[in-house]
Amino acid sequence: MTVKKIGLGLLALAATILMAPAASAQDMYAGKVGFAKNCSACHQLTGLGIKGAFPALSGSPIAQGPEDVMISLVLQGRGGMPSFKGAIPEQTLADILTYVRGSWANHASEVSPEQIMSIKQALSEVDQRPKGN
Amino acid sequence: MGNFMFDGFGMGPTRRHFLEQIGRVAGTSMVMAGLNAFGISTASATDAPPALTGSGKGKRIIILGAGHAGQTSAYELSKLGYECVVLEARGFAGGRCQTARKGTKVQELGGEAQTCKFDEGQHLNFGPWRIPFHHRSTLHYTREFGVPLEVMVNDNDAAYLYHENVPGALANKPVRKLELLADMHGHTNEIVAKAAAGGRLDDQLGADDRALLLEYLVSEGYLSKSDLSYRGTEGRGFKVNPGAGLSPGAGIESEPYAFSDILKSQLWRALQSVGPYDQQRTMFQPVGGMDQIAMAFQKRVGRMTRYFAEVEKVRQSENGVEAFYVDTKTGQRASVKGDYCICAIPLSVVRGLDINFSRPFADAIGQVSYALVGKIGLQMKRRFWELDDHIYGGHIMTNFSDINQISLPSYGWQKEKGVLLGAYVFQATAAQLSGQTLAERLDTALAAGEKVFPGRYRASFDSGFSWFWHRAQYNLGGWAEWSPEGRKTAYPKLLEPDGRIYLAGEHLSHLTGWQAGAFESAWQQIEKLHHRASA
Repeated sequence: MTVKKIGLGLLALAATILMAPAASAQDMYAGKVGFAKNCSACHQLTGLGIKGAFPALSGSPIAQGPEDVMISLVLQGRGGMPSFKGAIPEQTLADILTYVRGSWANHASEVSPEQIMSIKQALSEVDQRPKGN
Repeated sequence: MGNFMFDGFGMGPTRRHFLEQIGRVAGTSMVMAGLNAFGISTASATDAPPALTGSGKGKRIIILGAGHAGQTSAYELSKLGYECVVLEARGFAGGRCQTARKGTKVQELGGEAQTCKFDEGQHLNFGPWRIPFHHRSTLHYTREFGVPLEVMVNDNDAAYLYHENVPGALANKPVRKLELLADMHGHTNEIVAKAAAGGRLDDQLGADDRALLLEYLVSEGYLSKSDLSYRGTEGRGFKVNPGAGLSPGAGIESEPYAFSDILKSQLWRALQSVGPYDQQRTMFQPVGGMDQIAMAFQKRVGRMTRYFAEVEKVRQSENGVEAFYVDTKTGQRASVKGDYCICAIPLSVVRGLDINFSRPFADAIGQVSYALVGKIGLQMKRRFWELDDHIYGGHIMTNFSDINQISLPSYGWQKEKGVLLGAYVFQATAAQLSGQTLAERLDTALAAGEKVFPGRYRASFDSGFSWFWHRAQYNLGGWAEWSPEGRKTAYPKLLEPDGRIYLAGEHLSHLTGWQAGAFESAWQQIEKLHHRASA
């Protein structure tokens, strides 16, 4: 490898560091992993969903809207989406939501575990146990 | 005839005896009144299709979807002379009533394609798999069509319960349900019996009732009559089973588990005084797979069904309905006109279709949720659960967060191979498991089963099949889930027709997710339709 190439590599590295978002309280990598595990079956790894079946998150007004609306939706579920209230710990959910709000075509604020906790507490304690037929 | 109130098993009258006696004296109507007096509803379960008279000749009904609600509508309405045209998006009928067997091909939305590699004769009901004895509508059709049934073992006292990572001595080990039942009842009854005998329940019980309660507790929980203690009972199984001669001879009795260990294990979560309404014995399944019901219908309504007809748009006017569809094999578009339409497509799919419903009706459709549900079937080369564990059917209930339960097949007893249900998951758990690749899912299921049947589960594995209803095109969910608000506001709206379109399906019943819900919903809707069309 030539010196020139190493220099270019360093420049690219520097550029990557400079272009990274300001120090994030939530872990984008953990968010990506959590998204793949919990959300990708429907919304797809691309965040584009499947037309007519699963809504796209990329460019979605809800995914870029007020944090509390999005948090409540994921905690309570809606339509074809289940409640994730008991399924994902607050920190992981904060990572996932932050990842969704900052990935693909999205540029929205982060979500903190504290916000999730406060909304969780406000929700009713009635937790329906899933029932098989 | 003695006093009919007391000719049961020496324990007072049974309900049945009481009702039979009334019936002999006063006839059926009194029996029905008697049932209602006992709080047994006779109105909620429907036994047979509505007895409709008149003729539907000259009228055409467009039926969207050849699931059970669509099949029922076509079958019953055509008997009255209506011309029925059923549009079915898939190349086969039955909707969610499907069975995977050798050669079954499926494709998940945004996911992988699968071809089932089970051996000839092996199968998995990946849609509905149980028919409770009181689903009289389902049993009406299996009887009418001559679909043979067999018992589905839905509750097996010999089956294991398994909880991992719990405190106490029962953690991480299989415990037979009968051991737990005996010990939980025995220990609990001992505490209550001793309290009652010591006079500590006297503010709640008179002396006569106290004596009777004690008798019950002793008999039901196998307590010692002398000191009211529980020291185990033969029903929980033996250390060495009794047999012939001197050895094993009388066998060696087993010891009960410590009450505290049972409580801490939380294995008791699997115990209930009586099964939930829709899970009780006798439970049935059709011989050869649940889709035998779908096929039996199709023998009768197949000629009315257009397959590969994916509905895109429906337009209704004051005079009729027109459904536009695309033939997914040829790509050609066509339409069919009719007098009325029965839309028997799941609402999860309907809400994405272009149908000119009224605004309030469309809003109501948007209010229902659909369950995320999935199953994994595993063909095993060897029926180790029968051979080594002596468990014939039933469920292994676990606290594993990734698979919930393992269910053992109720067909092919003592044959070489068998397909067991290696995972049955819902909601968030289903979202997670369905996010895995097919290979990962099978590995998850095998790893879980290996904990309960170490050394045998993975080693016996042959081939697997997995299906998740939320990832199924034309279904987008397992079944409708109504919120209490939705039941009050949207549900009643959707029971009435919107113009000339009637909805039908399990989603318009309180038997959501059950085939009976689809049958009975269709029965209600065709009755309404026929009365209107006959007016």
